[in-house]
Amino acid sequence: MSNDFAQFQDAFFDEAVEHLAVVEDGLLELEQHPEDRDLLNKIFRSAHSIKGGSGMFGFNAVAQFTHKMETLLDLLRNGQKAVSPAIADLLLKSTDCLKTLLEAAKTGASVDDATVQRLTDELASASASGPQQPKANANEATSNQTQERQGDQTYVITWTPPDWLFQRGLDPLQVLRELRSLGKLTEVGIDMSRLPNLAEVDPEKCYLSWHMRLATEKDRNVIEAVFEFVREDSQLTIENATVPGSECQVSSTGSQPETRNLQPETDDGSSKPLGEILVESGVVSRETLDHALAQQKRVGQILVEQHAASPQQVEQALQKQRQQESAAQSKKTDTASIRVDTDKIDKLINLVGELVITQSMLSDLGARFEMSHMPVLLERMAQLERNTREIQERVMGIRMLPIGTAFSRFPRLVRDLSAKAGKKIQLVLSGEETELDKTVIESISDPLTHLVRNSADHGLEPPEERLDNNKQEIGTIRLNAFHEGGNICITVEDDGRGLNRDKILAKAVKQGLIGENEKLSDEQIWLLIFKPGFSTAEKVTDVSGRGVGMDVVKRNIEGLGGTVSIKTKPGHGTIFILKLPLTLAIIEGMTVRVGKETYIVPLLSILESIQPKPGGVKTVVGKGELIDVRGTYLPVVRMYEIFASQPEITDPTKAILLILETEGERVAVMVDEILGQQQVVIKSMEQNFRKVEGIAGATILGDGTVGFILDVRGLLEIARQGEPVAA
Amino acid sequence: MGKTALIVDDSRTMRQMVAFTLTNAGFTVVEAEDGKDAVNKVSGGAKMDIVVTDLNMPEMDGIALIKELRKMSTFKFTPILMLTTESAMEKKKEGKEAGATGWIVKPFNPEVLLKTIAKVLPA
Repeated sequence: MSNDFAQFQDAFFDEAVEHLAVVEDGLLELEQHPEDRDLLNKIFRSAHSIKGGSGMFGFNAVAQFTHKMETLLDLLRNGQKAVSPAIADLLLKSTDCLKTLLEAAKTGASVDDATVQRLTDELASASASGPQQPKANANEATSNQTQERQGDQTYVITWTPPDWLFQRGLDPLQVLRELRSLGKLTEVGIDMSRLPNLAEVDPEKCYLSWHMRLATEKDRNVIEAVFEFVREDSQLTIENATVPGSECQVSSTGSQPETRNLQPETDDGSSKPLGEILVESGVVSRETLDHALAQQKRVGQILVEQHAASPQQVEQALQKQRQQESAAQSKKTDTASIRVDTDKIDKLINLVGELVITQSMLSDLGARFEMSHMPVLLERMAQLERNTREIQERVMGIRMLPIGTAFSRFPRLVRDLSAKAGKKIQLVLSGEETELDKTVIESISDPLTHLVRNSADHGLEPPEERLDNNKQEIGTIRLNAFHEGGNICITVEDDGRGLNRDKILAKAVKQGLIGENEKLSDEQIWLLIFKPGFSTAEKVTDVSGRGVGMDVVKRNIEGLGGTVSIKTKPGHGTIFILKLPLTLAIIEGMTVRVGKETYIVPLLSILESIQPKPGGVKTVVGKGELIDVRGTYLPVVRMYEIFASQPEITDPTKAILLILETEGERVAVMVDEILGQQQVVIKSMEQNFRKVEGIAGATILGDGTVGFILDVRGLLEIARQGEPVAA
Repeated sequence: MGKTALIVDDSRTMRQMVAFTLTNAGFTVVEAEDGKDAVNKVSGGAKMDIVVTDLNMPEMDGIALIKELRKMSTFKFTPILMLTTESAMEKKKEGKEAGATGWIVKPFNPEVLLKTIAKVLPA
């Protein structure tokens, strides 16, 4: 069957995700306010919408599962059942399951049927005392199948509609029309016997009855269907009055038509499963079949029973399968759409309009330009600049989303973590409305999740320990987001035990990350926890402690052009501070000159710029040039050496040294001159040319020439190796 | 002559699907996202040839909407179809009592939708 609705599938999945979020948030809130009827209604409605929609697209697994959830939710909202922690938990688990079912419907991935079945059963038993679902639908559907009949039958139909027919917007004429469309309406008579005296007539009531003769080849059911909306409230008789000569048919039509068991075949001609055929041909009953199907085992189970594989091996393989599936899914979600407020677009269109006006004013001025027009020209130019800047801001704004979308998953996560770790944790969110680039939001979710997990597992102490230390039993994790200059800061804060300096040091030495006698500042010690393979957790828990993750966090954040820093106070807690650029496409940069080339240094990484005194730069064997900045020796990188360009100045005391910092390490970069500060649009080097060490990208400068954006991280690497790159 | 239809559903996708089908069939469509929104949109005296409404909605649900519409002189005899799910048979009865003309059982396809509408739409 062709389905015109198929084009709405994507819209449905988008909406389903929103509904799922409503359900999940609602369920979490419900734990605090189990009596909140409005909340229950809201959850119910969202589940209902998912059910309705999935049914429309033929996602029957989703529809059936949601139906089970809905049944339970209905009992809860009607007050027939009370919300218990067990029920809330079951519903949350079901929401997760629904999520995977929807994902499966979208991507065609397979689902863990056992889990679905188990949850379906649990949902059913949780709603067990509720009203039984009418199971009649299936039968109804089969008996409605029209039967092929030869030739026309004549039916005598008498119909007395209820007198309130009109008040429900029903028109008897419509019924007659529809009947006529079925065949030949040979006779239509009106019975006006119920019509009262004119004075007593209520014009909004129907007093009439009809009797009709209809010759049609259609089945009796089809005729009845015409009266679908009024049948239960009308007196309706449909009798077969077929002309003599086919007596056997006369007698058979008096009773309900039987559905004959035809050769099993489906609408689209494809063959049915064996079980279905057996049921249809009456060999086995539906119950027997269901029972037999329930005994069917999955490959994993069979292998385990045959001792061909251990349960652990099967579990591992299953896990691998799931990972592959989720990897496939995440790839697909990369090309997502974005929903933009029409308001934002309207404003943008407005601005473009203004830009066009400014442009036409300028070309008008250009056509008859005299020197005396100079002030007007300058004014118009200023206007053009204003327009351009505003349009740029607005266009960037389209990609901006509130970070709340990334935060929304955490209440659930923290709830689950606190249950698993046996700790009492409350989550405080703030700054959810802070806007940042969609891409950044998407990439930030995973690192944030990791930090929150880390705080819950390592940061916060168990309740007993907290009480012993005169702390509140309930630990707090605080997520905050705010703007700071051209950046956004996201902090993950816990009021737990704080980082343990000695423990981290000991571990780092043991793992050979640092030498035994190496002297490190606190800052540097904290950053050790971001090293690959580092974990101080004594036991590996389900949540964290495998030493995988914190390094990934750092790498992800830095991949976005951001930084991670840590503040901690023993016994009082830890704050992870993520600093991210608002967008990945534009950076605030300092333009510097080396010879004839212009480079852009990301402003974020510049600490200061100095002009060294004579003798300030020293050459150390094996370490290249170093400069003494207030007691700290930093490596010096001469830009012209690295990029093999012709400098104007080769004497450090006459040049400018920019002190750049990345990931807690510093480097002094020597340039001829600082030109100024400006926002630049990053163009990828890899896409347009090839990767060049020490260069993060390129941009087009005001005068049309190309400027290179420095990659501070790369410069540091070069400083360490002391080798120039071929330009 | 183009006919007008009022579509009331809190589910964006569902609303779009019904609107799409009816627009293609030559209707002029007014969409509302719940009962209250619908009442606001027609309380100015706008007449509609048909109303298609969901039942489960925030603010004002479908049953309340049907009752409300039947009170308005402009909607006293207008066909109103409700979108229900199979499991909500008792809702059908409730809807009928409120004044609904008929129902469309979800899931449905465009054909069924148009056929059911044709069934109740005055010529």
